[in-house]
Amino acid sequence: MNNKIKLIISILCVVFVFSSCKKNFIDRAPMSNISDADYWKTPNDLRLYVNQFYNGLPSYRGYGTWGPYSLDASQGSDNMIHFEYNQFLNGESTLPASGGGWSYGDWEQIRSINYFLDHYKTIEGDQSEIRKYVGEAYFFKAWYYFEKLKSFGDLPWYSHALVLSDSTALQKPRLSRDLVVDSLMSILDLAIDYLPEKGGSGYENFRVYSELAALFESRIALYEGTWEKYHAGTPFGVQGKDGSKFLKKAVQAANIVISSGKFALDNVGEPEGYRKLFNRLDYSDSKEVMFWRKYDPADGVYTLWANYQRLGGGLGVTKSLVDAYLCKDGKPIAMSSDYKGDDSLKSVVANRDPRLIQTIQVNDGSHFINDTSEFVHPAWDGALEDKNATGYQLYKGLSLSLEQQTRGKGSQGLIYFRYAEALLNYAEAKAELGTITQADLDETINKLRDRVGMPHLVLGSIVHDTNWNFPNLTPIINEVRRERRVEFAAEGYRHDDIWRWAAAGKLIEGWKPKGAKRQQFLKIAKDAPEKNLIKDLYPVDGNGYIFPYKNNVVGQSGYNFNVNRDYLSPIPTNQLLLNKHLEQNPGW
Amino acid sequence: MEKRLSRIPVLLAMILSGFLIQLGSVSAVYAKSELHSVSVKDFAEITVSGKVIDTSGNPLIGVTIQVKGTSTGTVTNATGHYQIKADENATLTFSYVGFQSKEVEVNGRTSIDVTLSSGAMGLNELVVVGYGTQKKVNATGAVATIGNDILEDRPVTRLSQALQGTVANLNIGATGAGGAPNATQSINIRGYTGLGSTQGPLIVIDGIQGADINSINPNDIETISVIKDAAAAAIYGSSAPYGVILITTKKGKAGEMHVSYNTTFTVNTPIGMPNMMNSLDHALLYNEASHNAGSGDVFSSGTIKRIKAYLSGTLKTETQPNPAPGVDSWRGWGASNGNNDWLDIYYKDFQVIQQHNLSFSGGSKKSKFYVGLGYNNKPGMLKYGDDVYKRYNVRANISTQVVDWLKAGLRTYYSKETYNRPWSGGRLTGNNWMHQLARKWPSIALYTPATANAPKQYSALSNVPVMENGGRHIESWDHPTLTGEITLTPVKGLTAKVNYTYSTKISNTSNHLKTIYETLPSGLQQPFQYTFPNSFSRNAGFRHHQVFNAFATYQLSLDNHNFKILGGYVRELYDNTYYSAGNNNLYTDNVPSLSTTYGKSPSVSDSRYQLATQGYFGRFNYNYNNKYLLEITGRYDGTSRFLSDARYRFYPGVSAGWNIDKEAFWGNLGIDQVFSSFKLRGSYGSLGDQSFGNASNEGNWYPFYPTLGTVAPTSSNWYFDGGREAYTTTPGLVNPAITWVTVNTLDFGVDLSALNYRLALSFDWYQRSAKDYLGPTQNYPAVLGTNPPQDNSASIETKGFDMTITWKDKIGNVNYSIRGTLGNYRGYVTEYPNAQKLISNWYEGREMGTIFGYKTVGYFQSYADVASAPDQSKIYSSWGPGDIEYADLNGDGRIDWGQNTLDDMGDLSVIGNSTPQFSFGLYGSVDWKNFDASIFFQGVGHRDFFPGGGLNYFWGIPSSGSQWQSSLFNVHHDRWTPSNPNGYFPKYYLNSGENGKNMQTQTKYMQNAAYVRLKNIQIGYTLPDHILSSIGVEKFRVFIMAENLAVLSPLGEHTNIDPEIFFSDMKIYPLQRGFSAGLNVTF
Repeated sequence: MNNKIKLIISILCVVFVFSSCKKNFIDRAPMSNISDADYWKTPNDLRLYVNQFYNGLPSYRGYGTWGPYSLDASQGSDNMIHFEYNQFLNGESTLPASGGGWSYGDWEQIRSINYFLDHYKTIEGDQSEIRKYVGEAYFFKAWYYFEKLKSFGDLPWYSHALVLSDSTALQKPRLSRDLVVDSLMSILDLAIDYLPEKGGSGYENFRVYSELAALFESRIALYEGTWEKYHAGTPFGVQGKDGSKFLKKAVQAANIVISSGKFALDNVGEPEGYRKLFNRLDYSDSKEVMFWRKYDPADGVYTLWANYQRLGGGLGVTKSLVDAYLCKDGKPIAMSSDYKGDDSLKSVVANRDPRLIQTIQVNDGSHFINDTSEFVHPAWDGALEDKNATGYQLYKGLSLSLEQQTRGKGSQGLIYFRYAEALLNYAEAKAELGTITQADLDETINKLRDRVGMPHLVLGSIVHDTNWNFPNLTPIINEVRRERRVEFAAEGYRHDDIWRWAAAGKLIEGWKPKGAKRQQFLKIAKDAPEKNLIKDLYPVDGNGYIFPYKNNVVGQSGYNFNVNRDYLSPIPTNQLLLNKHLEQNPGW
Repeated sequence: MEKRLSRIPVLLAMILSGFLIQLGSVSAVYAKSELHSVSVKDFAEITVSGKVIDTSGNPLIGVTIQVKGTSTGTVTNATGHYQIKADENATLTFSYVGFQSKEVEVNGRTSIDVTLSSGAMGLNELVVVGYGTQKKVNATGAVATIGNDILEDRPVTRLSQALQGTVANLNIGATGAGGAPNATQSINIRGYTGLGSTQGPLIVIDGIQGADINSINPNDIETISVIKDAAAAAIYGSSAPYGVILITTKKGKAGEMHVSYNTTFTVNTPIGMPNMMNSLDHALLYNEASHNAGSGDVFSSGTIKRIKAYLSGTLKTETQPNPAPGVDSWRGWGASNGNNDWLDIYYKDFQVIQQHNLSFSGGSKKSKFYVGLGYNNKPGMLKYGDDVYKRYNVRANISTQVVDWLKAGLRTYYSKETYNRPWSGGRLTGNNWMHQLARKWPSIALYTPATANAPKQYSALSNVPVMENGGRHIESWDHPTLTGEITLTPVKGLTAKVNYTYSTKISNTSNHLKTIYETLPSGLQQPFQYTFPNSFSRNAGFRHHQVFNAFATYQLSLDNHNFKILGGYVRELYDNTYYSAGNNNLYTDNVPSLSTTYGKSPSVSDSRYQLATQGYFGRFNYNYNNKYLLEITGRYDGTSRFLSDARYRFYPGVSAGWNIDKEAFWGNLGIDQVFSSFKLRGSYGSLGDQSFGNASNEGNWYPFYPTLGTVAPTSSNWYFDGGREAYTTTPGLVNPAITWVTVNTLDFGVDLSALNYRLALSFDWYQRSAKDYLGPTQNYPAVLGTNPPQDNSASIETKGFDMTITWKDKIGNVNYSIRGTLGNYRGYVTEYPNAQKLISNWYEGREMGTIFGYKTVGYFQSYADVASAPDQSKIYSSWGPGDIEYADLNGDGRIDWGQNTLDDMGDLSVIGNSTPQFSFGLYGSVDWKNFDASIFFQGVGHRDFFPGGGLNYFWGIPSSGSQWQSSLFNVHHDRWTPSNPNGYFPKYYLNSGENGKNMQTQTKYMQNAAYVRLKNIQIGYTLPDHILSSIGVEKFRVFIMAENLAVLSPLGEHTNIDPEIFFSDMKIYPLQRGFSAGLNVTF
């Protein structure tokens, strides 16, 4: 009996052990992930893949994120400033060993798009649908390359996702920036060709489309064209290039948008039509806003811009920007009898280009903090982020809705591209080429002026402005640049414009930012403590203008911008070691 | 009856082992109910008495006599006599310092005289090793053992806490959870296991590998063995590249049933918390630092006036409505005038925690059982919104000798843990609550004052309402483990064991975010930041683990030749599944559930991972007359983690020992007069590591499959025409050739005892080197666009020693013992693909923990100092008084990092090493009559720590200069100012990256994080036998103790952070000091 059981159990043991040794016991594959082999089959696979790039566009969400109407300050320009001076403008950048915008992660999006371009060819399906997503991929490739171009200038160009064994490609030298832009032009030409036209077959809201790619192409072409023209002869220029090729491309691309006839300016002739363009929740029915981002607080996807902006956000509009606005008679303040001086906010905006009164807060009884409260004076009591830095508090872009100003409920639409840019790019490129005509002006800049009721810019009768930023350039270039500055004030264009015009030496180096006159606020102050508070907060210069950096290094000698170095970012030193063919940017 | 009963566990075990045997009418439920009727009074109790003498016939006084398996015990009196009550077939254990213990079976006798011979303390005790046991005297590996005496009665939640300092080079550290009620500890044996990382050992409980050390009830533990060397661990192959902790739980003993109850009540107080500056000092320092950076006041003169008024009591409210026109909000941050130490406000002064343990054990000759129940209730220190950890444990170990050649056993274990804490959507707390608290300015109001429209209430910025009522985060883990085991002894010397274990860890987490409203001065209700919309989510995880072991041991002795051979097979499967779902917008916050949400885009996801391994193992032991010892081990292992051609590997281990004291010359030369025993050991073993530095990271269970990331629409934030859409992301690069890391360990050891066994010492030196360690293939240019995949391209080496010294003696009738442990290690990179030797990366020859930095000269006190000093503009563009002057080591007139390579690092040099050196523990115990006392110290001998520039806890204002990420504590008063030119901290710059220029890694701020901590001290009193016997109680002990009573550390001067949590970013839930009272009763 015993022996029998012993035997049985022993056998069972043996059987169990060996029967369980199924061959595939230790073959285990991922069970909740997909690989390339399971993917790249249908056009929908392409769609899902390119969707990642939409999500990657800047969204300005979350705590401490002021939104697009603070970019003129954060990027560094003469339009807006922060309470603290901009260290980058003051030449305080340092050369990093690693990181610095040139790390694995910084090249990730370009790799991702190239990965798409390597794989999409295996897809079978409707060719026009496939072309649409390929067009989107090209659009985003241009988007990310353009960001890099602005920081670093020359770049290595990649058409495939790199692998470890691509030693030659990994060790490539940088390609001259004009060749990089040539490539950007050619992929954007393809995108214009492949993408559906607005409203056409395959077009979808909130996806990029043909005319948008054209507008973006004109932006890049104008950037490079003017860069080559104005940096020519400096270490930042491109030898033997004057930019005219790209300026022509900018004209051509902008013209695709204009001549399509699908776009127009919004709110033309409406009271406060200009301001009302920038604080809408939904731009679906806009003819002007060509590409924008939507938020939905019900999903927890909200912004906090209005909450910050209503009290100044620690920012301020500069006197430099305010002074750029023409008077209602079409003449600059230095030349116009309409100009009422700067003694009060009301006098500053009196008889001026109506865009000024719609851009800064004025205590005139018709400017508001929100639906229930009017603007009385700049925010000067509170935490730094709840104060205005210059006395000129930004009004443009502010949503007055109490709900929008409630935390967790902000959903103002974010504008990435609007039609006005096509008009301004067209005009500027033609002005730079010296081919601009009155008809061109009437189709572009004078449309913008019509919206706000300003007199037309007439080519033959431009009033000479003693305060022109660029007296050596033609009057029309000066006025086109003024129009661009005014129309796009606080929208984040100014930094790039200064850079491509090589104008930081003129506009930034040695610049001491100023604001409004202080005396008017001391008059408003209700008691001595408030007067003291204003005096503490707003130091002034000899003329009584608020001089925020009076007591620091910028106050002494102005911004210490290094024109021989700071137009481009340095490549981290580690990268120069890893790729001996990389050359450092000038001055670093 | 008895026969039938004893069959039942066997059948259960068989079912669990996967044997499909027809069970007839006997069901598991039936079996369970029957178990309760096991008679525990099978034997009669008798009184045994006798005398204990030594080999010379002298009576021994104070010999401990214990009824084995119980806590019944007594000691011999002044004439060597004793008397004890015991079952008629119980076993008595006689033990005495410096003498060999002896076990004697009672067998119904009432008089037992015993002779004890002086001898090998503990040398004959059995040590649990992988797949078996071994006499300590014959052990050749580096194995340390811990009895439950060290673990008993400590009011710790996790076993790991109790292990800290008990075993040399068993390194237990605080994790990011610090002193949180649910915190776990990091466990590591012998230091570095990777590039600067320290991985944990394999945990084996009752022979089942892959167990969870965190859920075990320390009270259930009988003994712990810690295997440190590779030869001894080789039996576990690739499961145990970095050591093994073998835990044996309590088993029942034949005899009367014993019921034991232990409890402790502990009062905890938080320790090591820094003190925040008062609001006036904070405001003034902020303004000073802001002026230094060229900016204006952060706190206006008006606010400072209000702060002063509030501090002096003339102003009663901490904040006011913001007077800005048209604004309906409370003044906050730099405009309010409160005075709050938020760390103090948010943590309780004390908290009571409690533990209860109840166990039943006993059995008959054939069937034995142990049932242990445990309950832990550990509320945390948060004052607003409780955080509570609870654990319930049940363990039942049952075995029965079915027939003389077959034993069956069933071991079951179940633990349930719950942790319930405030939730604020994660975003508000940034998942680092300590950081959020310490960056709150003291001027922020705790309360907003009453207005015409709003009552006085907690302010929104204080976050108190969110903590109190913002929803809860509730986690629970259910962890059942079932093991069925059959042991066959068909012929003499042969033992075969088959066991199967199913264990699972079920986690359930729910997060409820409530929308909390603050009342604005106008009476308007506004939702708190990040609390809108409200939401609810649930996550569940099932981590199934199955282990099958089958092995046999054959033992044979021929004359003085002793052989033992072991062979076996093991397979394991990990099968993990997770589900997660969430949605926004609840109908009501009173019923948080997915079903009660109405958001339009609920999120759903799952994930699944499997990992399978199998291996064949064998061990051969030989010893000649217990004098010459040899052990050879091998394991052939395979894993699903690698592709088939890289999947299997063979891992060998060999060790040898020599008990020199057994040689004739030892006695002849008289060495035995000093050294009672002396053993030399050596071992070499090779093990595989397939975990790539993180055993629990499921992401690397499929390292060679490039997969696209998939993101659900609800996790995206771009609204297309039809709403949000899913998206995919790009696969990373993979390396299909990766395979096992091979870890080789060489170990030499010596075990000796001396001075008549009163002194024992064990010392091991080791070298552990990992070949084919996974590192990036090399540094690639950034244009690669993704992190390069890992490759078996690096090699590392860790060297160290561990040492344990024990002294046991008695003075009169005071017994005492001291046990000290000391461990040390250093790690080196011996191979790494960094041809340029960039010092920002690993490179060949780099010692792990190396800190590169500048040498500090001192402060510039004037601009003239700056002008005459080397150019520091590579670090920052401008320098002035109060800034740090760095030393120009290479004399080139400027301070920089050269090429950032080992050959050219400019003015950098090696200024320290962060590896903890000389970790130690010291345990002393003493007993006298019915009193006992023990004391336990633990610490680290040396450790360099440089606080990175981001550490606001150290610097006050971090390198970013951010006013929002700063935390000013009282220590930050001691900074450079013109009137305090030798302040400890440099000149501060607020709101400016300039602040970082003075926080470069440098000698001035290098910290020594050494410490010695009085971990535990306790005093107990056991009621004397004569009282106990009259009330029918076997043992009754009361005790009091203190945990974390004191700490000494050179860190104290400029940071008051606890040195045990100092090394990370310091922003960690505070540790606690505990004062406990407890009770042990055995019936």
